[in-house]
Amino acid sequence: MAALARAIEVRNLRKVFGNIVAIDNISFEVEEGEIFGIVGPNGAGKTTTLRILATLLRPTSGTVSIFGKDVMRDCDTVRKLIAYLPEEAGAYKYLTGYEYMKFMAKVYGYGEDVIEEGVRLAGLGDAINRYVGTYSRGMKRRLQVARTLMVRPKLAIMDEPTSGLDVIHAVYVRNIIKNYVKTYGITVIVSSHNMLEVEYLCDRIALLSKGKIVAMGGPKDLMNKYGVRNLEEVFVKVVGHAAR
Amino acid sequence: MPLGELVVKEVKNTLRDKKILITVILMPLVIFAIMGFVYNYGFTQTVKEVAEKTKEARVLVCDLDSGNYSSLVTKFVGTFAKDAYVTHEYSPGSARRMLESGNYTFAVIIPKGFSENITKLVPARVRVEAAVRGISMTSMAATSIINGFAQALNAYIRAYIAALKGISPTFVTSPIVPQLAIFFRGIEISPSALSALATSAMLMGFAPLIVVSTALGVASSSMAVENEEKTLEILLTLPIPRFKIVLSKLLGTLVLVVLATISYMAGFTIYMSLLFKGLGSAEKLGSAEGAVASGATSAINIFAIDPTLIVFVGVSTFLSLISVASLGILLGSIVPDVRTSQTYIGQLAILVIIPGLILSFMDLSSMSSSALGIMVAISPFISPVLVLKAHLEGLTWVIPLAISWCLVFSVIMLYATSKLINSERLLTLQFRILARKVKRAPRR
Repeated sequence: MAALARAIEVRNLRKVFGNIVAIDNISFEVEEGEIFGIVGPNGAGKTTTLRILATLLRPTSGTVSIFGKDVMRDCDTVRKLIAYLPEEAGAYKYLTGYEYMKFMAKVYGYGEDVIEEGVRLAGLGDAINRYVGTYSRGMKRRLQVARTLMVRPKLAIMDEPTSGLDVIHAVYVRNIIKNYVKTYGITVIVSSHNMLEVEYLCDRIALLSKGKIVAMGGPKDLMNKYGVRNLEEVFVKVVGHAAR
Repeated sequence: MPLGELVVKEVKNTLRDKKILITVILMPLVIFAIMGFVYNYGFTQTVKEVAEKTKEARVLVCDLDSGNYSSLVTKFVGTFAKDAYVTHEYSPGSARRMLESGNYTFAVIIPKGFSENITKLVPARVRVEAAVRGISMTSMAATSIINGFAQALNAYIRAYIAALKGISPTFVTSPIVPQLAIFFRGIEISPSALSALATSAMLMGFAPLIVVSTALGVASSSMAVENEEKTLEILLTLPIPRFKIVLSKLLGTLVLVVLATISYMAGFTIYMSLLFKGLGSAEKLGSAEGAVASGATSAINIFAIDPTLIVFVGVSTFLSLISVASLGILLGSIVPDVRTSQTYIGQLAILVIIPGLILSFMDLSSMSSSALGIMVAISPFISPVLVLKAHLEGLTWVIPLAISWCLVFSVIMLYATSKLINSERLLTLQFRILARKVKRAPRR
């Protein structure tokens, strides 16, 4: 009997833009139902990695597969399995929040029940019937997180899901991801600057620096391994090592 | 996902944007209508003013000749104007001041030797002066009044002398009655109709150019807005075939272009009807524009009743729209925002408008075969104008060639567009353009 494919399998991935090496030979796996975090400073290669997983960019070398499907060869199939939330995600400003949800549900072939689920997840109240252009940044992000999760993708790819949000909106978004994902067994790969967020959300994390994975494991395991109290200290310790 | 849903999203998101609604759909209608009203008002006012001022004219007659024929002129002025003041002195300064102050509508200065010249059957001079307060369409009234007076005076003196010599005044006016005729594709037309036909051909050529340029802008904006609003990155990861995305953008653009075209055509019709109404008034003044107006009406009728031309222009406009909209989508995909796309559109529109204008003003039949070949090669964006000209000039072989090339070009453009947005080249190009922009930005 063939072994079940992993949710994500990245092997020796390298991505070069001109003479800039954005990702330098990284490998990792994510199991189905896991929340996996990619953590690192600006320019570490987090967004590039997620864009490759989301079929937007092609790897220079190496392989990336999602549930056994190669992101280059089977990109059409991969797109049916994923839902991608970019760091700066906008919605059509002259559609209402409801119309936007309806459009997205139809894209994946779903009907009214999924739209209602999206509306509930967004938690925007009557504002769901207003044009998206009138929403605050926090409201837009809640709409986007709801849009990503409502279609219950096999894999949700979320780039900085709480970036630029105030505490109230950030906590709301984090709770939605955590609860919804655990309820429906969705696999999530998430990138973040926020170590607290990563510690709260993720089962495992990969610390990325200058395109390389410098540490990987469960947040608690990493803290124990490096003998520190939080992930920030892990990061400083590991990146400090890598820099020396 | 059904294509219809994607198109509905496109149309909703575009038509609800008040800026697009106003600039693309309402403005053409409003601008043309206002222009038409302004012209019509100008012409009507001029005609009214001429009629009123002629009826109420007060004329200063400076008779420096005091002869038989100068008395005849004075007598004529009495019948032409409401009031005539006769003097035997003339000072240019005081006459001008009296005209400028509005005391007199115009002044007639009869120089010494006037009667003697006419007696000897030598043409005699009469100076007619008027003053205008500003330069506008209504100031044309002054010209019309003194022109009308000069012509009427000439006819009066001519009739007097003809009667004296026992000759028919009509014969003296026009001993020869010319009958001018020009043949166009075997049909006899008058010179004024030909001039109107040329004007109409030119104007009809502009309409598809405007439509095609509008499509370029709308298509480019519909894609650029995806970049500006950060929706493209999501759109490209959705399980929608790329060709469907391009097709939905094209169809969304076509819906908007159809609305814009209806607005243009409605505005243009209002403009032309008001213009012709105004020109009709001008015709009453005996102006050349009036003659052109009546000719133009018949010329437009010639176009309107030719269904073959409508089909050819329709097909070529549709194909041109696809080519140009694909180009717009390509451009809109790689620029960061609508403003940047509009900057490039301004430059690209020149590629459409300049060859379009060349075609509008030049005869295809007078072009060398290589020049005609170049025109066909660059025609996909200006295909309707080329087809229109070829049809009018009877170069029927050019039409299938232009339409076939336009069809091939449209397919190439569609393929290239869906290929570009199917690959990471799109994002890489965006990065490059952004990097170049950052590099060019002035440093503090």
